[in-house]
Amino acid sequence: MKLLWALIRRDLMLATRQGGGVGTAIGFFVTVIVLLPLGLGPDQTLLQRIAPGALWIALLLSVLLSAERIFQSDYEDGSLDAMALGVVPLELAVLAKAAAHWLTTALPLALAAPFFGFLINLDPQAILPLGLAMIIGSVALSLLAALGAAITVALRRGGLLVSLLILPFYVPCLIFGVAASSISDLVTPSLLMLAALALAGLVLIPIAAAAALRAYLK
Amino acid sequence: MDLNAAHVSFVLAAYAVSFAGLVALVVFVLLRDRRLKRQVAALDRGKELKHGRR
Amino acid sequence: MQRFANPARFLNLANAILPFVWVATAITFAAGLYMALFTAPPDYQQGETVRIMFVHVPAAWMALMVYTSMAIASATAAIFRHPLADMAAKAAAPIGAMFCLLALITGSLWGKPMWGAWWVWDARLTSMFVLFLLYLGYMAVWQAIEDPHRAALIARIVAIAGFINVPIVKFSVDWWNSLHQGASVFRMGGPTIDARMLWPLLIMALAYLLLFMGLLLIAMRSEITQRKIRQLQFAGLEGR
Repeated sequence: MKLLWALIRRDLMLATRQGGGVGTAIGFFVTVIVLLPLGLGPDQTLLQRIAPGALWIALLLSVLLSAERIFQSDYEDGSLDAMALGVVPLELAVLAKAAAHWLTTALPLALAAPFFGFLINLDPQAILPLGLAMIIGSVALSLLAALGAAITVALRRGGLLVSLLILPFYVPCLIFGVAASSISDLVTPSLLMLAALALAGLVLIPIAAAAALRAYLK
Repeated sequence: MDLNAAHVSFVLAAYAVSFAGLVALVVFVLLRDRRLKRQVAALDRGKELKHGRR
Repeated sequence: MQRFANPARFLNLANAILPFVWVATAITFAAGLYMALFTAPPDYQQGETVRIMFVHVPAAWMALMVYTSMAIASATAAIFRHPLADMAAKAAAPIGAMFCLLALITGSLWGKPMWGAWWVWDARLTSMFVLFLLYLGYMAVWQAIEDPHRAALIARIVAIAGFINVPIVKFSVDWWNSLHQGASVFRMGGPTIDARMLWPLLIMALAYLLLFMGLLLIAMRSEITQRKIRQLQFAGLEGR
């Protein structure tokens, strides 16, 4: 457990020092949200109806965009090799990296999203459900992004492949996420499904991602 | 089949597309197999020429 | 199964049964098409368009079956390290992808006269579309990674993960459709299927299955040949 925290802290330090990737994700998110009303027209009722979906899509795409960075630098400078051979199981290292990504990219976006919602006339009653759903859903999104990053870590044009591979997994996240962001209740069955996906991902994805990384580290 | 019924063109299109798709699939698989067979035969011949028959 | 781990043995078996597979495929297609186009009656509600079912449903069934086989083959490769398992999955992928594409296209052609729309986001169509993306992703992995052994390792993960995802997607879209009461429930083929329609459907499904088997055997033969080519090329490079 202590080792896990140490790894997470290390990645957080690296992320804050590098800075670039997080900014890109936030910039992309804001761009999508700002362009939406400009593209769809100022009809406020229309915007209110699509607001949850639009915010979720922006979150999804922003997280996906920043996926490549998760293992890139550690793979290139050999740290990943050290992690694979080290005391900590590679699966735990993957979990740590996904957690760091979540803390620096997905979670901030999830927390900020409801506030950007005012740009697209998000129903104020939907802010809390949306926020909660996004906090839980972003865990799944970060984990899936880490899986995509692990599968393509050594590939040159990995970005396109990551999108193609992870998109099918983002579909149920999006569907449950938007359904959980409605104004009806704070805790809906959709939210529970989303939480179930996140929990399943916490267990399964480190295993799969570590296996993928080992394939490249051989 | 009644060829004058409504929407028959859709039925014919569906069968035509299926036929075309399956034929394309068969052709692709067979041609690739043939090409690879020729490649391996050429390499085998090259190896034999190089080493002769010892 | 271990006996067929030897590629040469597999090739002998494949070449032996291939002619029978082709003959069986031809016969079942001939019989199935005749029944589908001539002896099957037009539907009470849909008229002649129901005949699209006989090319759409087998394609959809095969698309799902082939992906399932790829997942099983990948799991077999991972657990038992059977050398032909990865090859079987790789060989099956383009075939399954074509079946999936045909299912989508024929589904669209069926949908337009039936529901008035070329495409609807109901659970079946959406899952089939996602399945097509999964096929493309799987094939892209083999294309993107040069080392065949490494590609096999990654491809296995992609196939198994994708397989887990398919029912999740179907479930989620079903859920989503049930939330949006506006969407009507689309039922294909009617409530109960007439025996005169069931038989052509089953025979066409069998024809598609036999076609897949024949093509898979040839595609695996191609994979084995390709491996041999690579070995010969490496031997040539080392100047032996």
